[in-house]
Amino acid sequence: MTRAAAGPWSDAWRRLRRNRLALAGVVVLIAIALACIAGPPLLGLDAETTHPQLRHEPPSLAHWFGTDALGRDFLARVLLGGRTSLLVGFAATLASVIVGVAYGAVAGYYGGRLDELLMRVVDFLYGIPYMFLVILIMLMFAETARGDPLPVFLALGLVQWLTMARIVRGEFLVLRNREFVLAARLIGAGDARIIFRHILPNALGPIVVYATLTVPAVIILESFLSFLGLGVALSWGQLVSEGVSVVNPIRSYWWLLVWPSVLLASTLLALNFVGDGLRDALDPRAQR
Amino acid sequence: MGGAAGALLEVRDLHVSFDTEAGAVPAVRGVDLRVQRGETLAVVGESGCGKSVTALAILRLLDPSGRIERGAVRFDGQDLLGLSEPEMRALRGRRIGMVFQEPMTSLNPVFTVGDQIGEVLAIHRGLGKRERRAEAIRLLEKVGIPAAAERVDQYPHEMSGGMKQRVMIAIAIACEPEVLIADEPTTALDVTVQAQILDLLRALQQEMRMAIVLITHNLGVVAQFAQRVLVMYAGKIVERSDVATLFREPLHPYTRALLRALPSRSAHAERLVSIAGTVPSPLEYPPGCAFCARCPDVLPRCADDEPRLEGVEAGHAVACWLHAGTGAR
Repeated sequence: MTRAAAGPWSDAWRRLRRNRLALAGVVVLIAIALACIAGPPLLGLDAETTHPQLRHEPPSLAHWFGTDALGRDFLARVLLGGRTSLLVGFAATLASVIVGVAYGAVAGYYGGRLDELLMRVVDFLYGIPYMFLVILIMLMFAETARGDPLPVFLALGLVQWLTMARIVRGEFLVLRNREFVLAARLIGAGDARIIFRHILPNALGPIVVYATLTVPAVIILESFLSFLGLGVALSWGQLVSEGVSVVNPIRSYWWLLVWPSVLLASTLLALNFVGDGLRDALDPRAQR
Repeated sequence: MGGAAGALLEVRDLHVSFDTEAGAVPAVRGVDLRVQRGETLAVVGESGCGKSVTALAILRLLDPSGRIERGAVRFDGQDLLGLSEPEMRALRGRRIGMVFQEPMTSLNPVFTVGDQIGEVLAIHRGLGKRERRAEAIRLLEKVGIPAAAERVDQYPHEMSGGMKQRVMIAIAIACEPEVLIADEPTTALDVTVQAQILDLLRALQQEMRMAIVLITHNLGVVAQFAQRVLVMYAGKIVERSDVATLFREPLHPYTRALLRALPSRSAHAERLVSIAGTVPSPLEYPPGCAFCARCPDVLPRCADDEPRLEGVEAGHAVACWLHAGTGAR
């Protein structure tokens, strides 16, 4: 699909490239992700070794982000926390995309009673306060999987797929009645081929946009959970939570709150800019 | 109506209705048609008379709300209504092709035309990627698209309506089907392009010896193109004839009205002739002839008593009380 210059995807890419804010978002995201992934090994950082004599050191040349209450290098901890936050964000989004697209596609494509049934299930799950659901799942896994972020993906993905399913279902409901779907049937295409080859590519715009906006939503959720003490791994949310706990009027260890907050906020902002940019680029109404 | 046993496609007593909130609405009410190998049969009638529904029913592609109530569809000796869905899929696009009215929206906007022609080749002929592309180019040339090697990589929005209809035709004929159903293939196109598309269809028919079922509301197209004609009204066939006879001696008042409504180039008529009244809603078809409310020659019995399709001479049948019993002549 990258072959011809006039395809719908290259059109969208052209529009996206004109959007400075979205491009800046992409650059910031790539920079943060690279730093989180390659930073610690490249700079030889160690997030675990404690240095009792270096507790609460402010930022310096030796420790750019300072050290924490146990004298651990805070830059290393922030970058490792970023790994978790980004991983949770993308993995949970991926899970929600897979489940939501499959579910919504089936409901929208087949329609009728099946659609009714599937969508009532979604409505029901919507009705349960999602925080309650997430906390329940986290508690279920809390004992067995300390430090393993997998339950977080699961819990967050399980909540996020509902909206994705609704969006995809709506797209399929409209697209299945388009002439090109009948044309595909006329040449002997089966349901699976029509769903995946003919309808899905036409619904990809809204799916990509919503997925991009799901990533920051998941990161916030995870941070919130960590903040509440329900997180299972070192993440930005957990670091912010610890940072807040040491803020007091007598001695402020500001770097413990500022660095993870700044990185978290920049990431969320960048993701939202990218999502908005993609929406503008892929919105069919913006096309001729 | 000879008893020719070798009809390639045969529809008998087809009844189709649609489930709506107002109940089951009959759309096709007992249609019979036979198509021989290599011939062209035209099905003529106003919008909503059941032409397209008949075509979709033959291919078993009605909406979920549509239902074939009764009747039989036989293709090359097989009962299509008895086939499984996979068997039906193996037939669609390979032995029975179809082109329909909306070339603008019938192509998938996110794929190149080459990919879309290639798809039918992948489904039915199992061709590899490179072969598909070569074959797509050959097919584009065959349907008269210039610079096919470049066009093959274009997206539908880069093409004109006539060009897209050519692509649809290329897809429909890619597997050399025995029957091509063309449902208003030229209606959405400019007049000059219409003639080109009809010429193309005729040339392809001669080359590939395929039968064509041409569905249209345009009698001018019928005159140019078809050998035999079915005239449909309100879900039924009201007249069946060969083309020359139909134009020389139309029998059903509806057919006559249609012919009168054909704009003529030579006449100085300043107004277009139209048929008074409207097609009755399928919910309130009268017990008798559905055309009786608009018929200039209506008889007392027409409203309650339904005329059957009866032969009046060889190859010419009509469902009208004006001509009932004249077949003995």
